[in-house]
Amino acid sequence: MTTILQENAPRRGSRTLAIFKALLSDPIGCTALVILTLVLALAIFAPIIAQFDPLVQNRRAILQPPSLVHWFGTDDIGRDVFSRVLYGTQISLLVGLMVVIITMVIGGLIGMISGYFGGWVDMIIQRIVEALDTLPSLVLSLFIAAMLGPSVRNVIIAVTLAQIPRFVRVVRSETMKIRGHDFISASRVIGASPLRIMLTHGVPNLMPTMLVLGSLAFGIAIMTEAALSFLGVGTPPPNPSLGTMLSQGTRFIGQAPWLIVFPGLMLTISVLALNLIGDALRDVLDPRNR
Amino acid sequence: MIVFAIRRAVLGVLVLVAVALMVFVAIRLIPGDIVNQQLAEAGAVTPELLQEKRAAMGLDKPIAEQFLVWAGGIVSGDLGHSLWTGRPVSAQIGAALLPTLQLSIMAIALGALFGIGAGVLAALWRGTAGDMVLRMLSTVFLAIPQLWLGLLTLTGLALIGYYIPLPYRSFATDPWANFQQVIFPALALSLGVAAALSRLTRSAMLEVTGADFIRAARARGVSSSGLYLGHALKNALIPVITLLGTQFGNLLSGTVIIERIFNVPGLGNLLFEAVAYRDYTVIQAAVLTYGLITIIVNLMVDLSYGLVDPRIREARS
Repeated sequence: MTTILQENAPRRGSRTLAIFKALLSDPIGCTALVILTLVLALAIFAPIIAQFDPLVQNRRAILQPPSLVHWFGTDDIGRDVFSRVLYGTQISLLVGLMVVIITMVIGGLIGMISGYFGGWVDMIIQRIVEALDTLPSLVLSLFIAAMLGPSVRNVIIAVTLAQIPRFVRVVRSETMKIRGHDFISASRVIGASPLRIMLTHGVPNLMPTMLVLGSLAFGIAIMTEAALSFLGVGTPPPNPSLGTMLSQGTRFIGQAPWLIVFPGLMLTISVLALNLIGDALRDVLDPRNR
Repeated sequence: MIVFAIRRAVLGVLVLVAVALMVFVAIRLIPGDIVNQQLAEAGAVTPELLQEKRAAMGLDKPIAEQFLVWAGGIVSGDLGHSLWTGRPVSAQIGAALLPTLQLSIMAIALGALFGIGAGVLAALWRGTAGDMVLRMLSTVFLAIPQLWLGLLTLTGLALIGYYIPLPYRSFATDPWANFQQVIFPALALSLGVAAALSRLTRSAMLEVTGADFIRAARARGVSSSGLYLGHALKNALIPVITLLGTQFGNLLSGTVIIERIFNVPGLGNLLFEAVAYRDYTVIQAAVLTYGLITIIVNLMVDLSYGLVDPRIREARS
């Protein structure tokens, strides 16, 4: 994974740009980026696009199937499903983005420390990671979210904690690989501090791995947020969360399938786009996979 | 091999103790315990009453002492009593374990069948339309949340006028009803596993079929199907087994959701209810049981390498 980067390594900005360009030249990666941009646009411009307030009830339009007025139909208290899906996506993406950023920073840092120093530091970190990783991720998230109480912030904490072990493990092993290179020994010889080595050599070299992991974790985070909200320990109502919408839809399962179909479809499209970007990034960054 | 197995098992127990400690401490660090909630529901909260209740439940003792009492109980097979209903926790866990195990074993078996099958076919049909379709399907099923897949299954069944019989019956009491109750959630769970497995099986098969020993076997006149199943698949299976192990963890996460959707009274449902009522003893026991299942599965995966690959068996003994 590091070979391609060392060839054209000199400036960091140009490398990010190169990754982006390579991603655009990959047909699947490009399509996925377009889809994700569309989903993002729908979420960001929800207040402009949505014709109805997602929270306003309309007793005269209860459980209406999709129509020209209500594109995705209405729910059991007459709220417009299309508007709710848009705002729900907003929350999903917000949670996903926060989880990915926090996981990258904390998981990346812990992984680098664990891989760079080795020894007993590594030993202790790995045991904690192992213990966290022993629980199925949703069980861990459910447990934490339930203990902390339902709020967007707590959902972010719960999902992040379940994501960190994987980041730590991968970043650790990549760090151990990088640590063996001569340029690291060279920096150490000229007296660079561990922190400096990690920031100037570790972070840029780990970035490709982190990007791939990050885009996959983004998808998982969105799914977990929906699952937690479905179970009633996620984003608290009346916020329109996709998971909460699905949970409300279960009461009208054969009667109003649009309550299930559209929120789930939005969820799946977002995850699909993120997964495809992750795959494309992996192909672009690792020439062996081609 | 036996030494290896014992060493892994001991490590597993140590990890389990760490998990238990983590869960135990986490629960007690969070404000708002069950006593508060019970009394709030009764409508009368006085400090004296709180104190009295806590003392009765042993919640006023230092955390370390509480943990030792609890851990000692586990070793002797006593998981304590539900703080809410007073029923013994071990009985509740025992009753919930069976549906979850049945569901997850069926799902992993179906997933392995579909996934490995699709992977082998895709490798055989490499570059054709069939390969494309299978790969697209696996990409899509990897992205569909189990939550939605489960709900779509229920919606589909409702639309064709089929309703899964309720309430839940165990396989022993009513095999046919049980089968109808378990097959759909198992199918919904299996597709994600199948998608992940088929991708890996395909690439592992393609890698293996390029190897020298396959060409040698072909030169010896081994038939095409014998070649694929006997030689290539067996060698492609090692990474697949590893993935099967990690997929089991995802699958367990999925059961929590799927059990809620399909009303299966398993561990996930138990945990969910315990969480809603802050029933510490049940939460602890349920979470620990999930940990135990994962550790046992990981152990089995480790041991199975030896069965598939004689070199690993040699290296370990």
